[in-house]
Amino acid sequence: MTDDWTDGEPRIVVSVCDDCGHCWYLRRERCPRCAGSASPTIASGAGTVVAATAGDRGAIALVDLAEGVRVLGRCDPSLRPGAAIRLTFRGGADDPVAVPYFEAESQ
Amino acid sequence: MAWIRGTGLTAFGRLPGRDALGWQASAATLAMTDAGVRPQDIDGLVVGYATTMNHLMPANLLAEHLGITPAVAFGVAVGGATGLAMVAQATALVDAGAASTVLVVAGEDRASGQSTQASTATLAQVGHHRYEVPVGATVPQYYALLASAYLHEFGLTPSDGLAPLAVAMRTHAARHDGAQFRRPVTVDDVGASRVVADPLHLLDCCPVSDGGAAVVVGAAGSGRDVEIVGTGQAHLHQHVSEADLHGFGARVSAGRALAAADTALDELDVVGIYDSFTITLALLLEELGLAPPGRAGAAAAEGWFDLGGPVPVNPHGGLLSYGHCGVGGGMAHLVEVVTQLRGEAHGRQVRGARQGLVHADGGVMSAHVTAVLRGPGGTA
Repeated sequence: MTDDWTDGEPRIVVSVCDDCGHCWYLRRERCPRCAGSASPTIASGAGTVVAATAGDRGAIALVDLAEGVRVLGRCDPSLRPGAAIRLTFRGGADDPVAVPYFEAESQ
Repeated sequence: MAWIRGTGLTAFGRLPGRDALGWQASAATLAMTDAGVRPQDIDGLVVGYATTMNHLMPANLLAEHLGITPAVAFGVAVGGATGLAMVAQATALVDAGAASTVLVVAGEDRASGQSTQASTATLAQVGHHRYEVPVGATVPQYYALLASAYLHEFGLTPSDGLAPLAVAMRTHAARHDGAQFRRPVTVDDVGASRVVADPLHLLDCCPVSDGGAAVVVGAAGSGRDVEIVGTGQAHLHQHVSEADLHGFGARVSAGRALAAADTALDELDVVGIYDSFTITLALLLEELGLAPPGRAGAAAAEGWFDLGGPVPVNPHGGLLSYGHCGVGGGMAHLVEVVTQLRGEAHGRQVRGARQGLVHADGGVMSAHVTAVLRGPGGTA
């Protein structure tokens, strides 16, 4: 497995099936559609907001990355569905690793 | 098929004094009494998990406590769908001849047995341990994300898309002595309650409750028994990032149950639909086909889901107002539909209720189980 943000490397790794081309985010060794082997791709960091929520516990969003996977992360509280984003990584004092943080893509 | 021979449902609320086992025992005793069976008659025992107990062997624990020595016993954990999943398994045991009298039980001191922080942290574990939990998301936030996508897709505001569902559930709960919240609320009250996770306000969210529920599933059919005419399930994802936001599994699950029952949506007189949040109820009603896409809130405002409406939903008040003690919360919908089909719901009776459907989801719209029930009077 290629290290990603959960290992402390500030990047998102997208797995691509060698056999059927299916892409996924959540780490697994074989393709969930056809059990084929996987090759890693590093996400470019471009994406679109699918859903966002803000509240006392901070803001989070679901984002569709350009590579074709959906990712959960923290975000700028002003983000709304449909907005273009840029992927960054931020860690608070209580976070063992920096986690995905979505900012509005500057026009 | 099998029949629901007895039901037990305690009051829900913040009711200190019993632990999880105590709530399970209370509900089990009510159900056995209602069914007219004794502990020694029970040859199958199925028990749902309790977050405050987290025991490896919940069915064995309860069996010993009640003096039951079943031929088959096991615990089940599929989140909020656990209650209906247990009933589906009890039905299968009876159909297979592996047991004749199966006691299905849930109960938990979820409100008074742990801190709110502990409860929130436990429930958040439905997120992916590596990719979602470290982000810090809570269950209300996951459902708020679903609400965000839903309101955006249909161009709705929380007050027209979601709040009327909370109002409708509270209207129902006012007629049930066991409900945790019985004071009527308005759409404005929902909007004025504090924001838990935008766009969800406090009154869009079910409470955390103490309580229990149980049913006896059996082979024999007496005059008050309600037939389980079909069950269905769908388990299409666990995590929100892999969910199909336009097909979580409810349609597949209900399709299987309706086919098994050889019936259709327009032949249902009353339904019990899982409503952990207003958005849960909106999404399930629409995916099940009980409300048009984007119209669940409007339908609630127009009275569709009231006792006299075309699709009475959760006459006991649902999770949103009767309360939510975990697995027992999802079973309360089942108990209510059985009560309706027996014609024993008194001041909240749906007239002429002959056939009903119950649907629950667990996780983040992850696990789906449906049951179709037919009352003693049968159906046309």
